Amino acid sequence: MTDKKVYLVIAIIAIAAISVAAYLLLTGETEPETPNTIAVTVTSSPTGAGYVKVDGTAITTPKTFQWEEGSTHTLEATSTATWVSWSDGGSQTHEYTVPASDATITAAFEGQIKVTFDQSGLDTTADEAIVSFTVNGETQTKSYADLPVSTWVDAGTQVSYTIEANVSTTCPGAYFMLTNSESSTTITVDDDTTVTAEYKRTIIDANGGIIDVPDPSTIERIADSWPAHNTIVVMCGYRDALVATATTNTVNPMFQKILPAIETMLTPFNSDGTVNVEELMAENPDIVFVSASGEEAAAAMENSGMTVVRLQFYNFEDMVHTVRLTGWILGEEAFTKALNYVDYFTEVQDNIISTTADLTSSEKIKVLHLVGNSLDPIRIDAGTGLINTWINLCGGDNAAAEIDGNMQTVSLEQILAWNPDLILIGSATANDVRETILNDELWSELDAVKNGKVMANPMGVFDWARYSVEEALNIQWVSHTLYPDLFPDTDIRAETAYFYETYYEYTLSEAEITDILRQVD
Amino acid sequence: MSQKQNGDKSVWANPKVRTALLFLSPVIIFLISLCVGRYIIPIPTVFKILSSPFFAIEADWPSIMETVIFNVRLPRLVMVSFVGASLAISGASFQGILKNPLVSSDILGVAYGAGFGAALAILLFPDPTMIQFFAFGFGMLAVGLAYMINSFYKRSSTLILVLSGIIVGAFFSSLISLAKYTADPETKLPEIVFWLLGSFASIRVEDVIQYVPLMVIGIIVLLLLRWRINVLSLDDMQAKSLGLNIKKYQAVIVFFATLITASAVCVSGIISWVGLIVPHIARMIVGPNNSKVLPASVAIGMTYLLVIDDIARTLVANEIPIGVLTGVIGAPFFGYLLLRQRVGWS
Amino acid sequence: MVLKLEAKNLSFSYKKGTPVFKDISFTLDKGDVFCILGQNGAGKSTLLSCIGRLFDVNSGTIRVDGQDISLMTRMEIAKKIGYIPQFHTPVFPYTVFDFVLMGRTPHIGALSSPGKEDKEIAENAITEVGITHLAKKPYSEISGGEKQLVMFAKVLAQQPEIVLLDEPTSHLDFGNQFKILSMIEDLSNRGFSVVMTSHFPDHSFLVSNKVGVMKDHKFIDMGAANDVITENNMLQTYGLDVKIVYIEKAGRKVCVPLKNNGHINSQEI
Repeated sequence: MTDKKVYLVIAIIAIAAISVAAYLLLTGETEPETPNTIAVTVTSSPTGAGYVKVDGTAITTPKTFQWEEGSTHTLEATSTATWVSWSDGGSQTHEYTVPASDATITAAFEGQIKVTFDQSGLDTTADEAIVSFTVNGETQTKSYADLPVSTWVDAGTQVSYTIEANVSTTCPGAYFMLTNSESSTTITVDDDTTVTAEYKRTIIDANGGIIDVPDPSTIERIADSWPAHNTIVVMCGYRDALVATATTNTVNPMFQKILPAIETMLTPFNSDGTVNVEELMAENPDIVFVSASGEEAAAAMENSGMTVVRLQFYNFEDMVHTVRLTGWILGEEAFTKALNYVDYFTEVQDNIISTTADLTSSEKIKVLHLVGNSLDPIRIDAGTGLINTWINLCGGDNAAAEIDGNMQTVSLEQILAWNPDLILIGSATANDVRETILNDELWSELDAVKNGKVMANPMGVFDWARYSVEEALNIQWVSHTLYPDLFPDTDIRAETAYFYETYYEYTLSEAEITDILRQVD
Repeated sequence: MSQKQNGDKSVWANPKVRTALLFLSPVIIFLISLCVGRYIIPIPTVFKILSSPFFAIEADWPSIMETVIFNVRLPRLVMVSFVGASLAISGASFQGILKNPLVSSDILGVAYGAGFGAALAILLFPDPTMIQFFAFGFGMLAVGLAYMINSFYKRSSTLILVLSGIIVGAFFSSLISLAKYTADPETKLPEIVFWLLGSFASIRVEDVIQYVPLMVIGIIVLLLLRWRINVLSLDDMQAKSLGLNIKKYQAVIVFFATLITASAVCVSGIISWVGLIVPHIARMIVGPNNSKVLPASVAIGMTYLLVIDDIARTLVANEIPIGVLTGVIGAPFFGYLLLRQRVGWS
Repeated sequence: MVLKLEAKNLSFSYKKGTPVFKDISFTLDKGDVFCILGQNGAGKSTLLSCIGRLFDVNSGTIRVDGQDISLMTRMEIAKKIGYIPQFHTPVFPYTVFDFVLMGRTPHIGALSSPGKEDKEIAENAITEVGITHLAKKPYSEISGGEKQLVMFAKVLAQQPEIVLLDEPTSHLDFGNQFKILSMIEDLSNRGFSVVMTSHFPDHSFLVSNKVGVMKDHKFIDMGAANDVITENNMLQTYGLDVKIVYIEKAGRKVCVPLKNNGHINSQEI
């Protein structure tokens, strides 16, 4: 009987409980509870960055959070300094439940000192470890993306560190050079210490000289005595910075179109290899680009305190190098443009190489490249130099391979002896020279003349045959001209338009394309 | 010169053999030169081609070879011969009438005048035919100027004429520098420099037709006057007392010597040394008498320049500027001759 | 009879300068040897040059065979008048023969060279002067006396009628001086008329039949040597006391400077 009484009591209580619960639930709906926001200040002793992480994120103490009462958060005292205690008595990393009222929670560290490593002067192209430091026998190595980095040590601790004196970059020939007096030392720290590695920008020029170049943000005025190199400056987005140039560029009709200011630009560089230094100084260039052969002018400009960068290329490897180096000197944005161009050029080049790889020597076309200003004397581009490079790259044989050097003088008899299959003519007057050759009895003995294979090499902002970024177009034109069957997809007109749009930011008209290609009918 | 070298019994010592060799040498060298060149043509073929206009020979050679022989080598070699002869004989004539063995065919400024004319034409006209006219014109003009300056002096002497020539030469040389300074370094400058260094690379049949007759006339006139040049090389009082109108003769000789030098310079550029050393070599062989020196200079000038040009056009595939070679080969060669023999003047 | 050479009132001055000589007159017959004496710078050589029209006189006339030389061409004059300057070595070492042959110039056309006949004449001239052994030697390498002889040969080859000699004996040693003087005598005997300048009054006794003494741009005396070379004239001309004595053994007069009378004007040797 007792058991029945127990069951009864339980049932009554349960009913009562359910009734109360039901009551509570019903009343709760009509009066919803407002969550209680509590201000919690997380701090540390000493305060600063790098001591505490909240929910996995590093903070600079003190920092105040607005948290809901009763919610939980992860507090972590960093292990780089010696942690003593949390003010709530928790472990080094613990869950913290937000109390009902505002609170301050403090991580206490033993009397430690912060040592920070930082840099100045570097950019994203820096591609190696910058600093390594050893504290209490433990060595850490940090690169550009890690900086700044801090560590905590006891007062009086010895910290030894090594800063990379010579930081290489993703651009060959370009370096960041440490200007600090010491790159490797041991210091005894008693107060918070920051070690800043200060770098300057340095390149190795075409003569092997080590040249300090200014910070890109300060380059606003550029002088460029090397005609072909001007096109690289334009491609890198710095055409408006040009303040002095070479005469050749000022008279080029296409250059005048993509940069009207070129026509009246200062040309202080003389034909005898000297420079009017005073004239140039008045333009106050931040940097001067010269070709490595213009040493007399370069020395004069350096003596006047200008930054002079000597560049040169006679093959595509060096051309790519020059483009990259120029881009790097002009800063990260220019460097990206340069890399884009190099990618484009490399793709075009690789395609041509692989397509012409299987040509047998009997299939190869013998090409003679005339300098073309006049036929008196006859000057040809011989077996070294860029023109020879692209003739071979495009699967041709340079008829003048036995001679070294560009712009060599030869007799007509020598040309008759070579008997080329195709004659390409450079210079602005190429079409006049072409007319002369086609109408000359002496030249008529050549196979190239008999077969009408005498053509003017295109000329855009620069002579396609020589040195400029338009080499990328030239090798497409030449390979297609030599072997139209091997390159059925090449549409040189479209490619020219694309190139100008992409790398010169200029939209060509159809007539301009015809002019560049020097198509005559 | 005073004592015959008795030990020397070689054929060379026989003056008749010497004279024969002297005048045969340009012919022999000319024929050899026809056979050499960058375009390899077998020697028998060369002679077959050469005789084909006269005899009925079946053409078993490609037409390109004929072009090489008749349109490339022949005009070039003819031009080289006559330029060599012209520079040498005018050098000998100038040395005689100016009584100075150290002067050369361009002493009165003709070369620098022509050089400036050429540079100017290269700068002003795209058409290369203007270069020759300008070079010729300015060459003659330069000598005219030197003569004019000389005439400003009442008591003009050969020394003042030489000085006037040097003044005019220096003036035009500066103008050449100015022209080079203003020239486009990638297009015009190399052309000017090449022209100044001298070359026969672009000689055409037309050049031969145009200038060789002028040279022939000048050479003939100077050859006819060769004995008179002996008398003119004496001091002025003696020459006068022998009945010569010095000024008149000087003017005639300077005119024709300049005519041929200007013709030579305007087709081939500035070729140094020939006008200076060839007359000396001639004197070493035939003695100082201009009756012999002038014809010998013609023969040696032809031979010398043919040899130098053969080197310039065949040694390597590119043309070596002949003006460079005449100096590079001529100067040491002359030095060697000086060591071996008396120079023929004191 | 027409005189071989007739000079009348000759005057000459360089531009603006004082006259070199004034009012000079003299005449010369065939075979005459006329010796002009005078101080250095008296104008002797210039006068000689004017006679050969190497310079033109400012006034006065010179006639050769009655013909005014200012109306003759240079070639015509050269056929009449030969000139031997004080020696001068040409730049180019022509042989003696070539040099003598140049004497033929007035007889050879402008565009011609000497012919066989010219060469024979030159060879004969060389033989006559007695220098055949020198013919092939360079003119520049022979002695002063030999050079003077070669000049004589050259004038002989020129075949003029009058020979002008500018101080033919200066720069020569004693023996050569007399060789030359006898050459002059020989010229006179062959019918050449000779005008010579000299520093040696003594020489005029030897060869000349006519002497003119120049002082202050003019002749102060002119006539036969015996009449003109007087102690007084020599004192006037050279400022020098001389003694003129007849020497029996030599058969002629000589002119000797006195040593202890004033200081000797250092004339050139």
